[in-house]
Amino acid sequence: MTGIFRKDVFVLRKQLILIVLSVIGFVVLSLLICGSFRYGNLVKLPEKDYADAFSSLTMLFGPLAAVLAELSLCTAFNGTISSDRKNGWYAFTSSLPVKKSSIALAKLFECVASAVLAAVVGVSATVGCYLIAGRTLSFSDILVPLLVVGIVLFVYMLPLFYVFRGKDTASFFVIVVLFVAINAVFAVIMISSDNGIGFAESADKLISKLPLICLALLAVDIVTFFVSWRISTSLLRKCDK
Amino acid sequence: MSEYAIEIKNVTCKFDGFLLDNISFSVPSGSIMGFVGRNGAGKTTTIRSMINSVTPDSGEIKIFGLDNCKYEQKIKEDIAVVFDEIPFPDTLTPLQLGKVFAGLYKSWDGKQYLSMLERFSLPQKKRIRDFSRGMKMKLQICTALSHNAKLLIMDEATSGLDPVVRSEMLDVFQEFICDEEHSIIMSSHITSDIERIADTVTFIDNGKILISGVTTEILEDHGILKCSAEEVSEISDEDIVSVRIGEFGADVMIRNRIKCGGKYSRFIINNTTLDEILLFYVRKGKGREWSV
Repeated sequence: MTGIFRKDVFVLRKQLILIVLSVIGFVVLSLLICGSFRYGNLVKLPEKDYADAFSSLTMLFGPLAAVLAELSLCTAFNGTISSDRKNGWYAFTSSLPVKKSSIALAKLFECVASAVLAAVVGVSATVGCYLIAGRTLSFSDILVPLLVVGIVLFVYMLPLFYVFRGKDTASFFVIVVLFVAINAVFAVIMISSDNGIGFAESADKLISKLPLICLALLAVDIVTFFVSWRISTSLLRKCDK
Repeated sequence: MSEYAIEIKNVTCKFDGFLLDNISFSVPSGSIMGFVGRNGAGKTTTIRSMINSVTPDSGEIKIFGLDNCKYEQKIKEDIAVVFDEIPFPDTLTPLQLGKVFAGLYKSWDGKQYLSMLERFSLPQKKRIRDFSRGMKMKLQICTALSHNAKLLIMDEATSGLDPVVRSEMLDVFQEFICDEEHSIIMSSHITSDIERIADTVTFIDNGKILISGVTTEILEDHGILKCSAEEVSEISDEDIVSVRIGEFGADVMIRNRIKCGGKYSRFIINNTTLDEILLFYVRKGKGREWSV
């Protein structure tokens, strides 16, 4: 399995460097914007506008940084599934002392590693933004990027890149599933807030349940990991026939 | 050490609309077998069934005396497959490829790999996509010979190579089997390569084995008898593989050449080549007599 990882890292080296630089750039930009609330021109905003603008922006930066990192990394790693098929590497692996289940496991571990990195980036960005702005950080603020990472990981662990053999088709379906997942979350909030009335209260209630939701999502991700591993292995074996 | 590197017994396999029909042959340890057939004959399907990429519907395949399904991972540590097209991502360099293979094989020998790269004058830090076809094939051979493989399976590996590179490759293969522990099965439709280095040869066509045996014996046992179209009737059916009718007469591929030499002494019997033997056996399937 080590060889499979190495192959993917070598093949994607340029892309990975670009992704890392992009994410670092995004995080730096976020910190600069948050710093402006305390040291820059944004400190001149009237208090209420300041508080509203800041809390809206800082809520977004951490999760956005996490999503950017995870989407880019997972798409890159999963994209090698179709390129391996095209360049003959996948057929060649039949001659190697590597099981199909190990190949499928390697891809899933790459997704998990991407999620872990994305989580570190997301939490770091959130903590950084709050610290630089001199704001108090709550436990829920740290959980939001983790929640987002968990949802994206769930989608990327689905064996879509094996089912849809073309990378573009698979990427399209990933976006569709993510879109459905995000809209499902909004739908839950809208329904529980009686179609928008008391939206803020409903959102607050949701935030108070975040630790539970994150634990539930972790359990879903663990189950998805093992189910996807089985399905992906089976799909890889069918490719030979 | 098993007497045979590969044993295939009564293997039948339906794959992608093609049928391997009850094929049997074996590759003795320490030898090179040429596996010859035209395009679409079943060579690649047979190779895929050996490496368990395709599961036969019936029959038995043993590599080094071990069942190829039960001991798949153990067997694959000791075999190397070389394909006609390089299967490695072309953005890699040979150095990076070596590191990838080090993580795939327990017995990967990095020093051996680097010395093979040097032997073939392959640049270590150049991307594979910038290599010529010959260089790509040499790189495949380098990876194949750098993890102490005991069996090389070549699937039309010399196709598309110029004669100089082909000759170089064949020399390497002959070196490989110098000791009795190494074996090669080489599928090809370039019969001149097979005639040059193969100890044994097996012909396959349409998923069926036509003939299998020692190369020199097959060549000595067959011959082309020259006669007129009318004189073909004088040749016994049991001695004929098939007959090619041309403008100026008939070429009769005969078996049991020594016996036929005495029996049909008034005719000239010429030496033949593996190419012609394959051609006459393949055409036999469409009728005893055929014309160009």
